Amino acid sequence: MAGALYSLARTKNLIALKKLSESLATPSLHCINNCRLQIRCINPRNTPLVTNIDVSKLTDFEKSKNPEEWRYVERCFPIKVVPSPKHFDGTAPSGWIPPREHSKSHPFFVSRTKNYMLPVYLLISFRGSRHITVIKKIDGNIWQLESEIKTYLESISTKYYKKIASRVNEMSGQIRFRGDHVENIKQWLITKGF
Amino acid sequence: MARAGLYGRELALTMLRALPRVCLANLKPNAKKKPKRGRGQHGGDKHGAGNKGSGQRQNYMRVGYETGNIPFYLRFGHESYYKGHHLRRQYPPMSLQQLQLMIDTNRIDNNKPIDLTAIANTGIISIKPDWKHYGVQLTDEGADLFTSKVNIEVQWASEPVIAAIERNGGVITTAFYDLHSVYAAINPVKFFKKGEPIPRRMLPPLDCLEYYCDAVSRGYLADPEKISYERLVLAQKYGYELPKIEDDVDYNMLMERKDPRQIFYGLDPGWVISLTDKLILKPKAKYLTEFYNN
Repeated sequence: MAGALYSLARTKNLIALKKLSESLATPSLHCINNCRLQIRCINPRNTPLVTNIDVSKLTDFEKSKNPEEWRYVERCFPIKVVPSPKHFDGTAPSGWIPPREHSKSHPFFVSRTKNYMLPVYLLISFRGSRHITVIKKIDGNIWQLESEIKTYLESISTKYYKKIASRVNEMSGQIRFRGDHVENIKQWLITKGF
Repeated sequence: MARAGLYGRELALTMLRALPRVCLANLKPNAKKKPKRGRGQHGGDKHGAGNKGSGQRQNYMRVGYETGNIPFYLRFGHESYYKGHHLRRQYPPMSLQQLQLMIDTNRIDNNKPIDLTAIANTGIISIKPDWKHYGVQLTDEGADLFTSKVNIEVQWASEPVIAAIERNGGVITTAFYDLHSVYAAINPVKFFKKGEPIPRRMLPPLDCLEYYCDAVSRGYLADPEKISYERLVLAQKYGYELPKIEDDVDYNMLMERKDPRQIFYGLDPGWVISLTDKLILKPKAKYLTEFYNN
C-alpha cells in the first residue's frame, strides 16, 4: 500500500493520491518520505462534528426541578442594584445616619453617593506627603458651603497656624481642602442633615 | 453694575456680558517661531546618554559592582525572613463594624446564614484567589457596637470576635476553603455558567488542621458538643449571659451548617447547575456519588 502511495506521489496524480490517503485511516501512513503529505496537527475545521453519541455509554444523571433546591441556587445570586438601607429613626448600630429632612433648608446641598454614604474622600499623593480632602456632589451655593466649612475647620483646629487652604470647582461641584479633615467634615455635614 | 451678592456662575455671566466680543478688530497673529531647528528626534541632542564616559559609550559596570569594594549584596549574611511568603495563605480582613454596616444597609441579609458567597456578593470585600486569598478573617474592630444576630461562616476569627457574635445570640463557624472552592464560592453565577460539577471542598492542610478541628476556634470539624461547652466557657470569660439558641425563633436558620465537603448551602458536590433551564443535574453513577461524598 505504501508503495502505491509513493508511486502516485511521484507521478503527481494528486486526486488519486488524496483518495488513497483518505482510505487509509491511520495517519502514520501519510508521513512517507518524499511524499510531503504530513499531518502535523489536527485542524478543528476539518474534523467532522460529533454526531450519534451513544448516550448509554455516558454517565447517567437525574434531572431535578425541585423549587426547594432551586431556592438554594438563587441564594447564591448577587443583588443587581444597590439595595436601599433599612429604616432607622436615628443612628444605625453601625454609626450610619440617613439623610434628614432639614438638609433641604440650606442654600447648598450635598447628595449621598449611590451607596448611601457621604461623598467625602481623602486623596494622598506625593508618597504620603500631601493629604487633600475632597467633597463631591455639591449643588447650590458652593461658595457659601466652602466658607462655612472653612470657618468650622479653623475654629476646631488645634494647630498654631489655623488657616486652611481650599479650592472650589464650581463646574464639577467639588471642594478640596488641604489636610486630612474627612472625619470633621463628615461630622459637620451630618449635623447639617446631609 | 449690579453684581453685589453674586458668586461664581452668575458673576462670570455678568462679567461676560461686559467683556468685548471676539472679532477681527481684536484678533492677533501668533507669536513668531524660533528660527533654528536641530536635526534628529529631539532636536539633535544626546538622547539622554550624556557627554563622554561610560554613559555615552554604554559600557556600564555590572550591577552591584563597587569598583573593588566588597559589594553591598555580599557584605552581610542572608536571613530569609520572607522565605515562601508568596505561597502562604492569606485572609483579607473584614471588621465587625463593616459587617454591621453591610447588615444595616441591606447588603447582607442576616435572616439567612452568611457565608463566603454572601460576603463576596456584597461587592465591598474583594477576594482574589490569585493572591492566595483563602477567604476572609473577621476582625474585632467594632466588636462593642455589633448588635446583629447572625449565623456566619468565616475562614478565620479571633476570640473577641467569637464573643461579640455569640453575645448577640449568633453563631460563628470557621471553615476552610481550598482555592478551587474559593473560586466557585466568590462568583457562583460565573461558576454555574461553566457547566462544571460543583467541586467537593478539600480538607484543611496539616498546618491549620488543628485550628479547624478545635472547638475554641469554632472549627467546622470540631465536635458540636464541645462547641456548646466552649460557648459557655467564653460567655463566662467575657461576662455576658449566653442567649439560648434552642428557644430562639430563628432556631432553624441558626442551626444551618454546611457539610465539610459542601461549598454552597443546600447544593451537594457533583451537581451541575443549569441556569438557563433552571435545572439541577445530579450524577447517578455509583463511583461518582462515592467520590463526591467521601
